[in-house]
Amino acid sequence: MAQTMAYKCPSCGGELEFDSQSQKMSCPYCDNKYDVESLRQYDEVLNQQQADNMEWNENAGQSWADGEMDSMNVYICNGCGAEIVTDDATTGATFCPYCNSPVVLSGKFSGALKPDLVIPFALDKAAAVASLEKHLKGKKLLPKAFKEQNHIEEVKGVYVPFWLFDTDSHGNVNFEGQKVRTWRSGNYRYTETSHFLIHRSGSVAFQGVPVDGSSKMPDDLMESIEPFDLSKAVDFQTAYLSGYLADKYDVTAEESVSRANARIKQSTEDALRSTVNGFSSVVAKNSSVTFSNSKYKYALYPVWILNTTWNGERYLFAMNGQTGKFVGNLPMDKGAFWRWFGLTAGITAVISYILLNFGNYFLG
Amino acid sequence: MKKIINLFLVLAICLLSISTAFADETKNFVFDNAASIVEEKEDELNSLSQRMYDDYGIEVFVAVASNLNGSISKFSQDIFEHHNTTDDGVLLTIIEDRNEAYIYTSGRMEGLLKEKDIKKLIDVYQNSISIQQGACDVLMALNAELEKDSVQNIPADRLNPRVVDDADLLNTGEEQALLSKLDEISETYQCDVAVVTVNSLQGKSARNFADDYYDYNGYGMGESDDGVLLVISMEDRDWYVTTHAFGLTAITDYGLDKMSDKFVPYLSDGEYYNAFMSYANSCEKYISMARDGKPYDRNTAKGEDRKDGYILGIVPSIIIALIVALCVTLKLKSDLKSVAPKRAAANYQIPNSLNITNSYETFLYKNVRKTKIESSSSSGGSSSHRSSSGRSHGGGGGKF
Repeated sequence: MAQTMAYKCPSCGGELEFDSQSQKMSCPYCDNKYDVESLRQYDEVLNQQQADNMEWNENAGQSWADGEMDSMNVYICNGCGAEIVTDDATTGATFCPYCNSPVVLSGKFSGALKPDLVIPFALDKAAAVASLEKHLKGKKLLPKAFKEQNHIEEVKGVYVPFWLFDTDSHGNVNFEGQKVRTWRSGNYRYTETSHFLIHRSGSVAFQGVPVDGSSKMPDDLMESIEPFDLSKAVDFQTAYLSGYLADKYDVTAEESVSRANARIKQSTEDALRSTVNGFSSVVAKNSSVTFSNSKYKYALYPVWILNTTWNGERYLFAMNGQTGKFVGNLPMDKGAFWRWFGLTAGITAVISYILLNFGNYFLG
Repeated sequence: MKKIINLFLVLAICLLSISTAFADETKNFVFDNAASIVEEKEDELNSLSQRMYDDYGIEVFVAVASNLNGSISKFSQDIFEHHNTTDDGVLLTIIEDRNEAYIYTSGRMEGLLKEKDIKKLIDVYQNSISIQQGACDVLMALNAELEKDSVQNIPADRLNPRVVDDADLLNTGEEQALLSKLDEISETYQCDVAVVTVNSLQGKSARNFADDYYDYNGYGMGESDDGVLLVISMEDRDWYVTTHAFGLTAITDYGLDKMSDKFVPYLSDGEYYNAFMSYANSCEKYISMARDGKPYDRNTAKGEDRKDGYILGIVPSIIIALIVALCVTLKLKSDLKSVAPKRAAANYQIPNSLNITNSYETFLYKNVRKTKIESSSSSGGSSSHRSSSGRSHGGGGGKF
């Protein structure tokens, strides 16, 4: 059975015809000519386009040993439903770190997985307070009142649940690259653009890609205080909880997987892209990623949290309890914005007017 | 076979007719029977003669013979009469073995070239290094003579008043007022400023008509004939400003642009008196600036267009100010924001774990784009050209 294959023009998509004069495939629409062998390769690559295959093996978490859970209490928040865990000795759990509503002791901790790892707090409350003050300094558009009215003392240390993903990622990426050459001849400037099909396949290993396992803790806030240094992680002991609060995970690993996949795939493409050199422009056309040796763990990471209400809006600040990185969006003083705008515009207008119209006097 | 023969005949006829047309265009003024002149030099001599023919209507021939029996003057006369098409002409005859040169003149040239002039030309020939160079030198000297002579056709004094209204665009009162204004300006700055209106350009281009009118009617003051003349022709609604000597310096291309922007709208509206007064005022301004040493041009205009420049200058300043202010305030606003999701997992890549298993780059196709480079316009000054009199004129024109 004969098989007819129509090659499509990589430039404009039209159907190519064989041009006996040049012995190449020619496009009747955009007049480009292609080597038959290059086309075959291009076509093959396109057809080989595989779907991503990112699978994870379930093997996270351990089970609690007997007696470990005895000293742990669970508090329920009336305002937002968060479940806060801490040990007996800690009496600081009176307000919810997320919404500041009072929490109620609901009983002993039970069920659920025991964390595989924990990174202990490296910075204390004083450090957190100092960090907050530094964060507020120098922000020209911050409303003055905000600095005075926040409740710095209420900053709390919380262990936030994370799912950590390890994998070897194998990527196949195809790029379109361009090389541009220009030259002058006579009264004309010539620009020659050469198009290339670039292929890279390779593997990259990842360890500890974190995804926030608490629905109460905003994901973007947690990603903003990254990175956490896994080398400082230790096996979980209940003792670490003392003096701090911990949040139980309520987002399962399966639900977190898509976020991890997206980030790992992006990094894989970036890594492969970094090996492409010598082109004036490189654009990824398609990519497929497969995982192997993938596994995930359940960990608790230290975060100092402060939440404030101002002008009817809630503001959440977080500091990485290990590295000290402080983040949190701040409100803007609209009045200050327009004052700055007007002042800058005024001064710039005067200076540029003088320079444009009288500049030749200064320059001689 | 028949078809091929037919095709051949048609081609031959075409070529013949074309070649006869060409024959008219490039006359041959050089008759080299001694093969002493190489092709490039012959072309040079032909183009020199052609130019003199175009500019002055004089035919200049060169004839070279290896030897001669008989009188050179009779020989030259014969050659000239064999080839000439007009009465006015010159023939340079060169006899190679005697290294003798002879100049034959006819018509107007007989009166123009006196004995001493002819002797001078022969000396020019004898002083050169070769026959062909000598012929070139003589032709160039002839060209210079002709140019000098044509200049003498130009009257020393102005034959017409500074306002000539043949097209009757002004009434008596307006004409008087304009004339006294122009007279005043011209006398004050010693540079003629004049206006001529006609109904037809008599087949000439506006530029040639204006230049010739200026030259052959003796416009221009002082030794160099400094002046500016505006010509209006109602036939095709042309206007043209021609400048000479100091007028050329004073009215730059930029100045002409600005000046015409002002008076041409009046012409289009039929307000001729206003147009001419605007022209007069602009000329006065430019000539006085030029007399002060700073002709009105692109870079000196800034100071002069005081009112317009300063007000218009506000607009770009405002735009720049708005853009800068926006950049600054948006930057300050973004300082407030520190929370954003991470794009990738670069921090969790195990270092040196990148392992490329397959990589290739295949050439697909290329295309070439060609763009014309625009040559930038000159930054100032006045462009000039030579008129039929051989003098250098500037200026420009257009329609209204």
